[in-house]
Amino acid sequence: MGPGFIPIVLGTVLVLVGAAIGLLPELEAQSHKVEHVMGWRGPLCITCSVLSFAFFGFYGGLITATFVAVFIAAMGDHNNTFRDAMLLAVVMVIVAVVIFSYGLQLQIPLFSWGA
Amino acid sequence: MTQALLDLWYGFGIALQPNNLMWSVFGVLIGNLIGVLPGMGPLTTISMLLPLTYAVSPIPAILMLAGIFYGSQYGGAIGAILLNLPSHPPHAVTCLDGYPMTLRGRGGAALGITMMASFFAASVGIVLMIFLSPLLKTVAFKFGPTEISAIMLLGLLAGATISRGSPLKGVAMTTLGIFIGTIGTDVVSGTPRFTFGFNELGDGVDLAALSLGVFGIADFLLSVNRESVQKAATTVRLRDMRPTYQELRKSLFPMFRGTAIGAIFGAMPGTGPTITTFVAYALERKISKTPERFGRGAIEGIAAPEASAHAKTQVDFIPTMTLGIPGDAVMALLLGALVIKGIQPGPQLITDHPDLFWGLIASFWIGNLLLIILNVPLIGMWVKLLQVPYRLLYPSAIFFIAVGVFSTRNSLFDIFQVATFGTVGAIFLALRFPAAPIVLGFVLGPLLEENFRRAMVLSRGELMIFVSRPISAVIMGICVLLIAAQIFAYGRWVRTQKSPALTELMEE
Repeated sequence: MGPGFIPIVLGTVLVLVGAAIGLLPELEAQSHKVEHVMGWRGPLCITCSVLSFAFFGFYGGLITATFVAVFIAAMGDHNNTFRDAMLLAVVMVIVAVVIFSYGLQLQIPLFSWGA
Repeated sequence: MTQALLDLWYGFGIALQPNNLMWSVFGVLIGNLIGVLPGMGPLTTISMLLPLTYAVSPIPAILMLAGIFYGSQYGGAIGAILLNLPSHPPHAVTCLDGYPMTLRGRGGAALGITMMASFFAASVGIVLMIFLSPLLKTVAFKFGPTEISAIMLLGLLAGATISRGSPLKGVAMTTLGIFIGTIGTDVVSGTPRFTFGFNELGDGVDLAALSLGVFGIADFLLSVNRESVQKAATTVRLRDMRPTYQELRKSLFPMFRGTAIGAIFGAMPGTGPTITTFVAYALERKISKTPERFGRGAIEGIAAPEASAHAKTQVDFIPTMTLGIPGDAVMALLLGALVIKGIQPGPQLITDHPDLFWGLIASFWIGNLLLIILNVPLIGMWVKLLQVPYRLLYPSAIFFIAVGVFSTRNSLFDIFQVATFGTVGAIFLALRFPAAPIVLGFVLGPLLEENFRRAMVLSRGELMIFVSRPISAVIMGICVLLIAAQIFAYGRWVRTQKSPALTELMEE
């Protein structure tokens, strides 16, 4: 009974369940239609936004990371203008500095280059 | 009986300590605030504030999380009734009759009834908790690792199958959750598992990162640019919230029935709150003399489901705290927070940590009372908050998520985890795999494995131990029945090509 026992059991269950899902007709398939058409811009921007926070948190510091992440995320929505996104990003930078950096002593320097 | 009351008194002493009270109030307030924001359910809210609890000692942490939970439930009802926006699936039913009432100008009354029903149901749930939990304590010492792993298996199975959507997909997601739980250093042998050389994964996947990924980021990924018509919320003033005598009379018995349904479902591990509210609603429609009024603003259709949701929430704490089996993903998060704090939920919890258990119960009452007091004057502000457009909301939320996850371990690596789980979660959700069982499996998985392996040591590797010990044999029997029932229901569906009545209702 080693460390691999449970993972093997889980893997077996997943294979069986996966096969069952693929082969059996689905209960709800009839009543639903997959609603789509949302484009790539939103999801792409959101993913990039999260990743950019991690990247610029390391190369740039809290202010850079917050600004870039919020700005990119905001640009994902069709209804946000460039100006709205900038404004929102600036507001969030202020929140980040006042609440998280000074208030809660978050352990990221405001500006940095690598750690 | 007297003992329970004495314990409760002791609990109030704990909950009213300034430090504990402060965190509890903070949790209720924040939960209510974020719960009102469109698209923010209790899951996202608790996940976002989970990192904050890492810095606090266990009792205030759990009081705060519980406060966030029922606070956001209150908040969610506001969005459901006034804007037809269910931020949390159980509120989907509330929309059915709540929003038509708003259109008729009675939205305030609907909110008033919701608050009354919630407070009543929560109180009943708390009383049940006070008197039932000590009973569980007496059977608790009969629970060894064998029984605990059996009941965890039951909880996982129930959580995976008794929810909306395909039971098979639920099982798949639960299994995946347990699998994610195995990532990290194996506690018994010290062998790293599935870390792929990342030292950061040695401690395993972070609960906050996982839940924020699948409940936060994944949700944003799917709802961005989904043109939701922002309706202008009606203004609700204080005096609008007073229901008429007629409305009050009509909602009294639905409130009782809803509470009863919630309490029954709450005692069953693994049944989510969504199914509870749907059953409560269906029952009201069935026994009503005028079922055609439902869906057009029948006050009974608000009182019953809201009462059932809140009763269920409270009663749900019994299996979560005493057996270590969360009823749904929110409870799983609370459980996870306890585990992070080094508190092992289970039969011994009441005896080992009476301050935590009774303090929590007392804080429920304080928190629920506080919500009533808060919501009445603040309703105008909540209505304004409801109008915050999604396009500004989600970028800010992403920032809070990133900072929150970073702060738990001061590690930027965890932000990559969020991004990964977010993307994976969004793909699963798009394919209509439920996300909640992942967290359920993730939290329970390591506990299950630990107990299972302990049971195997006790039995010298003999699997028969699970059926040779009476308690675990019964639980295993229930598991088999559950699976059999699912197969039977599926077989009947295939033969008739018609979904069962319940599924039909839930698709509405």
